Amino acid sequence: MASTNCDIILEKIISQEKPGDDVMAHIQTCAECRQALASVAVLKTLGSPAQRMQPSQKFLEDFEAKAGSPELSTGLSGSLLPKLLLTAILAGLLFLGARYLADTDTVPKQQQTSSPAEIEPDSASSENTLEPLLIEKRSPAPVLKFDAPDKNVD
Amino acid sequence: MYSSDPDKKDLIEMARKGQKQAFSQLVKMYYGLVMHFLLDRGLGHADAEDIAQETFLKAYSKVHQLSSAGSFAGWLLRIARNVWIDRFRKLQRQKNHTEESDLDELFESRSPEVIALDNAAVYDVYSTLKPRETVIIDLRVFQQLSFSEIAEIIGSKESNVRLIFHRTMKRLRNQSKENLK
Repeated sequence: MASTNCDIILEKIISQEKPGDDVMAHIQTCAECRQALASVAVLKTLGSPAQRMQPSQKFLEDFEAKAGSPELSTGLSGSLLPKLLLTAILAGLLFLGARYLADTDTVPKQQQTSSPAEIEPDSASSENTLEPLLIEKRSPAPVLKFDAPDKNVD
Repeated sequence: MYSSDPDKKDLIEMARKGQKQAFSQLVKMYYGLVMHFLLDRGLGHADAEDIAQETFLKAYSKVHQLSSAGSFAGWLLRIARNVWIDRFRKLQRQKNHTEESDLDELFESRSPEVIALDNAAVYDVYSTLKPRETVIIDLRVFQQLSFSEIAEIIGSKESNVRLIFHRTMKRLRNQSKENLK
């Protein structure tokens, strides 16, 4: 069997795929595959080559010190929830404050600027309730009870 | 430590809950992998250790975002790569990769038992591994990542990762043969 096929078998074994009968038959006859699998077994026994490099005590102490600093701990899950809650509460207060201010500002403006046409009468009691309002709106100036004096002068 | 997956998952889970001591254990476990990954970028030991420190701190501050324990090594190396890129942009350093040396083909007929018993020979060959080879062997054999995942993490082609892996495995076998002669 070609070397590439042996490589594929090796990959399957490393991926912990269960070898089929044909693969097992090949392994039993192919010295290269057996040696490769033995090397993997030895590797797993020894542990990762990367693990031979260990951090110094200073590296670990630096990490522990920096990991405990307040600016780093802000991202941790333990402190994330209170922060989110505080943000939500502040946002809620701001929203309520803005809404209150908007209400106090807009009510007089509506009274000043609204025209009679903008008021939609209720179908049940439109004549009784709307009429005084319309009068108030239509006659901001005083209404004269008598004719103007210049008419009598003639 | 790498073989005890349940312990590793427990540590990751404890670290996700904000336990600093658990994360410190993970730093010990993954320091070598991160360092080899950074040394493979052409960094000196001091710079690599500096970036490794920043990598672990960033990982610690974001570990609660990690979705599954199985991808911890890949997740960690992605952070390391991002930190390295940031640093690289700042310092404008040039990547200094050494060329891979050609490996002799190995055809031998010893029994697997002989090779399996030759632990010392394989252990010796660890010292000759290049950082990239170390990272690939670790991620493939010990972290069980696929070649495509490894290629994405180290920024290489899948075919190239596969080639390096098999060449390294052959070299390990070759080293065993030499030691037994």
